[in-house]
Parts: sequence; structure tokens; C-alpha cells
Amino acid sequence: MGLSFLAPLFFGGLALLAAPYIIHQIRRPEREPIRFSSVMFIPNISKEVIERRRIQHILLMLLRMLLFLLLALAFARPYWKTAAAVTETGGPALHAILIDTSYSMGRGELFADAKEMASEIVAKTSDRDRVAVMTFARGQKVLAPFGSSEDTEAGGAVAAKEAIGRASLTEEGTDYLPALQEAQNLLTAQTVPPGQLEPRRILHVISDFQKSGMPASQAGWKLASSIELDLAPVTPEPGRNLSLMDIGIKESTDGALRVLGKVKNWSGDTVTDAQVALIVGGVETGVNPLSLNPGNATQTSFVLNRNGDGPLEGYLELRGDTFALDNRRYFTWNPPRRKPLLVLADERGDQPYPARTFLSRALPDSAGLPWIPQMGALPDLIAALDDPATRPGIVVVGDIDALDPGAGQRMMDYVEKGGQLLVVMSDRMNADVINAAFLERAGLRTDGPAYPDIDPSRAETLSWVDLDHPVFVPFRGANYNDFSTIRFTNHWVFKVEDPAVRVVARFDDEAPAILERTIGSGRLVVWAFALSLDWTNLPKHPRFVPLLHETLAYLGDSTKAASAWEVGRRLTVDALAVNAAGDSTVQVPGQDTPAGARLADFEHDDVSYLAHAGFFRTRAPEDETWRHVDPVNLEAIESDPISIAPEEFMLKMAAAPRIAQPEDAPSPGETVEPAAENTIGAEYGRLIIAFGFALLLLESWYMSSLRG
Amino acid sequence: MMGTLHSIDPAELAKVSDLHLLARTVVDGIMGGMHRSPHSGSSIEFAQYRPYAQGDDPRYIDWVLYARTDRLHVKQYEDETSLRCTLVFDCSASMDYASSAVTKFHYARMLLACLATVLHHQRDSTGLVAQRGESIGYVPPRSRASHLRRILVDLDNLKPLGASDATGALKYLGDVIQPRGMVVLVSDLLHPLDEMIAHLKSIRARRHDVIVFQISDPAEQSFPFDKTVTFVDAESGAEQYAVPDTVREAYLANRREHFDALRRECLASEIDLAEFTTNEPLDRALHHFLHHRAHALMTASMKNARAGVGAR
Repeated sequence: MGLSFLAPLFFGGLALLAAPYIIHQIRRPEREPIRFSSVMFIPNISKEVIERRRIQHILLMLLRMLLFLLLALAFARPYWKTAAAVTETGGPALHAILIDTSYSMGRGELFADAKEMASEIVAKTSDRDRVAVMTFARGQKVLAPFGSSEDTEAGGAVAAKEAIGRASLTEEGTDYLPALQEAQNLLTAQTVPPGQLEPRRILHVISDFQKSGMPASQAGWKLASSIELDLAPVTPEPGRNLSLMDIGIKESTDGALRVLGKVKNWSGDTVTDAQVALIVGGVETGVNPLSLNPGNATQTSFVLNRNGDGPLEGYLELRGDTFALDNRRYFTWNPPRRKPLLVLADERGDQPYPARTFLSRALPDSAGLPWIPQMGALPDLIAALDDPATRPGIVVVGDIDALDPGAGQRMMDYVEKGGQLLVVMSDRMNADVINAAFLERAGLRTDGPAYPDIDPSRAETLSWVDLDHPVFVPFRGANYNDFSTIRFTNHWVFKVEDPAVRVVARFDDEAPAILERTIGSGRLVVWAFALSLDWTNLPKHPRFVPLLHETLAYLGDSTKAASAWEVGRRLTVDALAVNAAGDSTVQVPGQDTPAGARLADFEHDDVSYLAHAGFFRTRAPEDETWRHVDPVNLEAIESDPISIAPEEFMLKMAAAPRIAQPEDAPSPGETVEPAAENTIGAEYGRLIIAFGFALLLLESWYMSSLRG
Repeated sequence: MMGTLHSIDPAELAKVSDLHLLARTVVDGIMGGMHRSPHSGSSIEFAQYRPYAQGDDPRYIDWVLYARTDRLHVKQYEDETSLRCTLVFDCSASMDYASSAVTKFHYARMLLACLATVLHHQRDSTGLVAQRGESIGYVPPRSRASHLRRILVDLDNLKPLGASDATGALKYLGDVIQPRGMVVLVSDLLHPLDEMIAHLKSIRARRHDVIVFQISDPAEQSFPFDKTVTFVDAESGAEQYAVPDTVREAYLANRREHFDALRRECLASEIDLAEFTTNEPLDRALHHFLHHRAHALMTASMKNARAGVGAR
């Protein structure tokens, strides 16, 4: 028990205590008399007042010294050691050994050291103990389970040593939290028959304890108090350590591509002889020399001229660094894919300019636009939804007569699965049908149009638009944000029943004009007015086409598939190129031959897991060439060698104390007294900073009172 | 245009070490467009000969010259301006205070040099009284060209003293100078009120036209100090501990009371009192002086006319 500090070096900051003393000495009034022309007008101050002020100044000085003391104390991160909760044990111990296999462990002899440490731990266990071996990086793997009491082979030292021998490095990054949770599950799943002594459960973590592996957001979770945490850090030998941290490819206006790479020197040595090479299609096309100061990063770039419009694949390679794994980053260039866009709007005999006319004119089939529009009717949509190959990325429901609840529900299913739907209300729609069809599922409800008739003299405007919404961001400029000239003689009245619905624009009477709702992985946007010249002048207004295009661009972007993948993650279905049957052929890095994949269960298939860096390729089985190629790279942050102190790791992750070494294992029934280091930490740094802040306020008030 | 020419920052002027040059620079700016009086008259100061013309007073024909040249000439004399001005310079240690680049002493010296030059331009007699060490230095009023240089040299040699008796210089002045002149006192007036008023009244009683230039430092007017500090009196060396934020109001009230009383007394005795700070251009003080001089001359001529006194 007692007070201890995580960063005692910060007590060096106590030297700052001298600062207030020195400043007060320098600024002492009697030390710097001012020669003044005459003191005849300055009133006298009594000796008592002078003495009182002297004491007040001493108090102020002490207050400031206390502030510095608290600052140093807070930075030293004090925590209180308390006695271990577990005091009596005696049965056999359960040892779970977690070995870090992230690629950063490949530096020097780190991984060999880690395996040796694991073997030593196994060697120190008694015959009655059981041992499990796990490896972890981004994911976890149990190499040797505890087994059961009947299975004496499993959980034994021999099996553990054999598992340690089998452990191999991965190309993944580090994530401590799921590994600790998995290990905890492994340890706590071992139960003892009634009447037997509860075993000690010890978790050994062998790692380089990279700080990047444990983000602050994970700080809330702790190991169960019944588990003792034993940390075995391995530290790399200092030396040259460069890494390619990032890669990017940009298309310039002249059609050329620029490949950019970011290189960081993590070591304390200046590097002058490094090189970065660009390899495209297996051919080296350029080499850039590099010079880097310790701890600095730099960017290097190559210009790449395209031959043809096909996809490109290549990589940047950093030369001159001994740790090769993080010296390569892959890139690909795929020509932009235009999304299929289905516009549902009927021809109307009663109107010379129906919504279909405006929509078709605003959405031409142009290579400059990011979608391929197709005008259709409701049956076209239903048919398209059934066909995975032709399922549109975006659907615009303009003016359709035969919308029924069944079709509406199909549309909502489409949205829930990632579809993007823009509904433009029409004067022919029926409120009850619309509500039942899809509005209720979206948390919306309408009572119908605001006015039963059309009165041209009754014109409302968009009194408010959310200029922070991505749709309206391009309209923020002073020349574009005036929507007051768009007139509405009628509109639909919507009631928002769900807080998840976002109102993007409103009419003069506060009724929502544009609404948005995310449903599942898709999105629904509703325009609460008809694209009819009887209702609004918007179709003829200069804002119409930009507003429609920005809305569709917003919807289109939300379905954009990730174009860069990291080792240790799984591919998503968006990445697949499929045929009409939902089949695809894929080749992930590390795979020598392409494999088949099905859209329906791809995300759970082994083939979707990315274990290595390289290229992910996909095509429909009947295609001869790859339709799409994406780069798969290592997690760049894993190159960051900054590690966390074992004490801090313990403080963040352990709720249970480390109460004894394996060689000190007690005999059955023996009472174990908590040793000095058997602690549970509670950190007081923040509390002290809060107290220091209060003291700072007090100091400010006191100083102002002295002046007053 | 005029204003921009001669409104020179005192801090810049203070860098000019030659008082004569400094004063000429300032006064030339001020006097630009003004002309020296073309009138010559008769006085004890000979000016020139002029051929006799009909109507000239035969009393001024130089008969000796007529005997030598056989031509009639009349003697012309410097016309006395009827203004004898004595400049009184307070050299006390309190004048050696500055919160910025220019001390009150330096500012007063520049002002006096300019005043002397202006007076010389106007052909007035100018004298100087200032404490010089233990004794009081007195340069009697004269209007010769060489006299200006003497005054400027004297001003240049003056230094701020320790504890001084500025009012003593006034008392001395009352004893030595002829009545009906002009007395210009340049001081910070940081002296006991009763004594100061008594001497000023005494000079005024001898029919002198008295004008007082009160020189202040901006810091004396606003007391801008913020740190708790011990103030040391420049003259007596007395120390006064003060918390500026606390005593500022009382200081300003005491100062205001002191000078209001002085101003009331001066007003009652027809003494002109004007305050200038060391960051103000000198031309404001000089304009004030010229205005006052013009007024004084007009008043004097009116009095003389009423008394039936003619010029020689």
C-alpha cells in the first residue's frame, strides 16, 4: 500500500518552485524605487498597511509555488497502491500466454526474444499448472488451449512449448483490447469442480507494448479482478528505422498521375543515403534519393504517365532500411466508375412539362457526370432490385402514379441494404399510400398538401436552409446562397416523428422542405414539393440543376466503396464485382490463384480476410480481365515505435494485482499476503489538475483583490 | 502646411545639441510670414545715418558729419520696443524627471531658447535668471545680437540641481530688475504654494507682466504606474511607499487641488499661467507666448496713450 508515481521524472519540474520566489524577489517594491519629481501629492501609507501587504505578497508567492508543485505532481501521475483483493488461493494456476505477432515485432530479434520469454514462463510453471498460448496482432489466434481436466495433453507444458514454436509473425497491426478480452474469456471459462480450490489465473503478455495499439478510447475496459496480469516487454535495439507511412495517387488536369509517398525516420540518426523507388507493373520507373533528420518525415513524389485508360497497379519501395516489412506501400489507379442511376417518373398527358421532363433534362447521360442515368417506371425498379448485377446505386422517385405499399416496402428494403433513394413528392400522390408505403418506416408522416388548390399569388420561399449540410455546402458563397427567388405555391406538410430525421431546409411556415434519414446502411432524401410548374418555379430556376446534382452526389458518395484496404481487416461486399448470379472471382494478397466468392456470404468468408499486403483483384467469373484492383497495405501506425510503460499499461488494463511470481506459488491452503507491488492503481493526475485550476482561479482573484 | 513644418516632436528636437540651431529651427517655422518691424526711431542705440529730408527733426542732424562731408545726415537709432523680458528658469531637481525621452528640464531649456530667439527677432530686450549652484545667475535684459548668443550659452551650461530654491530666484528677481517689464517663469511649480504665490504677487506688484509656463510630465498628470513601488522625491530624497492603483485617485485629487489653487491666485493677480507637457510640440507654447506678448504691447500702448506719454 502507498503512493506511487507513473512518471516520477516530472518531479524534476519542482525546480520551477524557485520561479515564483525569484520573480517576487526581483519585483519586490523596495528593490526598485522609482525616482519621481515630487512625492508631495502621494498620500502616506501607514506602516501597518505596508506590513500587511508584505505578508499578502508572501502568501501570493506561496500560492504560486503551490501551483507549480501541483503541476509537477500532476505530471508525475500519482496513483494509490492498495492491497490485493485476492488473499487466499492455493490450487493449480492457469497461465495464458499472449504473444504479440504484429509486424513491428519483426524488428531485429524481438520475436525470437518474445518466444524465448514465453518458453521461460512455461518452464517455470509447476506440473499442476495449465498453460494456454495465444498470439495476437489485429486479430487473435489460440495456438494451445487449456483443454479440459480429462485431456491431460492439452494445457500441458509440452503442448505450450510446441505452440510457441509454431507461433509466427503476421503483417497486421496491434490491437490489445480484443486480445485481452479473448484471453480473459479463455481464463474465466476454466471452471473448477465444487470443493476444489479456485486456481490462480495469470495472463502473461509478451509484447513491444506499442502505444498505437491501445487508443485512449479503450481505456474504459479492464481485466476481471480475478486475473493477474504479468507483463513481459521486449525492446528493440536502437538503430536505423525508416518507414513508408503513406501513399497517395492524384490525377492532374493534364491527365498525368502523381504518386506521392510519405517517409518517416523514426530513429535518432540522420539518414542521407535512403532511396524511394516507384515500381509500376513490375517495372522500376523512377528512384528518388532521400535525406532525413531524426524524427522527421518527408514527402516524395513521382509523375506517372498513363498508357491507355485501364487500371494501373504498382508500389513504392523504400531502400536503405534494414527492417523491410514497412518499406513498401501499394497503390492502384482505377478509372472512375459511374454509378447506375434509375429515375422513376411517368409521362403525363395532363401536363406539358411533367417532372419526368425536368429530371431527364437535368440528368443527361454524360461522361462528365458520376452516374449513368436511366429513365424508368416502377416495374423497372422492382426488376432491377431483384437483380444484383443491375441493382442501381441511386434511385430517384419523381412522379409515379402506381406507387403501392408493397413497392414502397421493397424500396425501403433496398435502402436498408445500402441503397440511396431520393423521393420527390408529386401532386398525384396519396398521403395514406405514401405513409404506409415508406414514410412511416422512415419515422415520417404526411397529412397531404398544405393547400387544396393552386393559388399563384400565394408564394412561399425556402426561409431556412442548412448550409452546413453537404448538399448545401457548395451554395455557401455569397453569390449562391440566396434561395429567396424560388417560389412555392404549394407543398406537402410533413411531421417528423423520429429525431433521426434531419431537416435540411424549411418553408416560410416552418414546414420541412427537404428531409433526410439514414436507414440501415442506406439513405433516404425527401423533397416535400412536386416538380411541377403549378407548384414551384424551381425546375426553371438556375438553382435546380446544381441542387439536384449535389443531392445525387451526396447520395452517391455515401455508397462509395473503400478504395484502400489494410492488412488485418475484412473486405466488404461493395468491393466485389459480381455477375447476375451474385458470383465473383477474387484474388487477395498472398493467394496464388484466384478464388470464387459469393456476394451473399462474402463478408464472412475466409477469402475476405486480408492477411498480407499486396493487391486485391475482383471480376465477374466470366470476365477475362480484372474489373477492379485495390491496394492492400500495412497499418502505417504500426511502424510507430513509441511504446507505453508497462506500469501505465497495467494501470489502464489491469484491475487485478500481480500478486506473486510463479516460483512463489503457494501450497494448497496457504494464505498469500499481498506483497508491496501487489497493487491496484487509481490515478490522481486529473484530480490534481482540477484542484490546480481551482487554485489558479483563487490566485487570480487574490491578485486582483491586492491590486484593487 | 505651417503646422506640419514646425510641429516637431520634442523627443526629436532633444537630439539637437546646438541650442542656437534648435531654437532657430523652431522659431523660423513659427515666425515664417512675420516680418521684422521696419520702424526705426530714436533711442540710445545708434542704428544708421540717413540723408536729411524735409520734415526731419533738425535735432537729429549730425553736425559733426556735416562739418566733415558738407552734407546733412540725420542719425537713426534702434527703436526700443518698450518690452524688457526676463526669463526665469527653474533648475530644481524635480525638473530633471522624465517618463519618456525628454526631461522637463530639457523641455524647459528648449522652450527658453526658443523664447529668447523669438524675443530677439522682435528686437525685445531679453534677460535670464536661473539658479547656478549656490548662487543665482542673472543676465540683464539686452537686445543686441550678441546678447542672444550669451543667453543661449548660459542656458546650455545650466544643469538641474539637487534641492533648489526656485522661489528664491523669483525673490532675487524682484530685487534686481526694473519695473514694468515682462517676466516669464518656466517651472514645474512643484513648490510650496504660499511661497510661490507670494513671490509671483510681489513681482506683479512691481507692474511686471508675468507669464508662467508650467512644465509637466505626462506621468505626473496620469500617474500611470501599476506596480507597488517606493517613490523617491527627486529634490528631498524622501521615500514614499505606494500602491499606485490604491493611491492614484488621491494623488490626482491632491495635484488638482494644488494647481487649481495656484491658478485661482494667478487669475486674481492677472498672471498668465499655462500648462504644457513634455510630449507637446514647442510651437504651442511659443504661440501662446506671442499671443500674450502682442496683448501686453497693445495694453501698454493704450495705457501710455491714456497717460499722454509719447515716444522719443
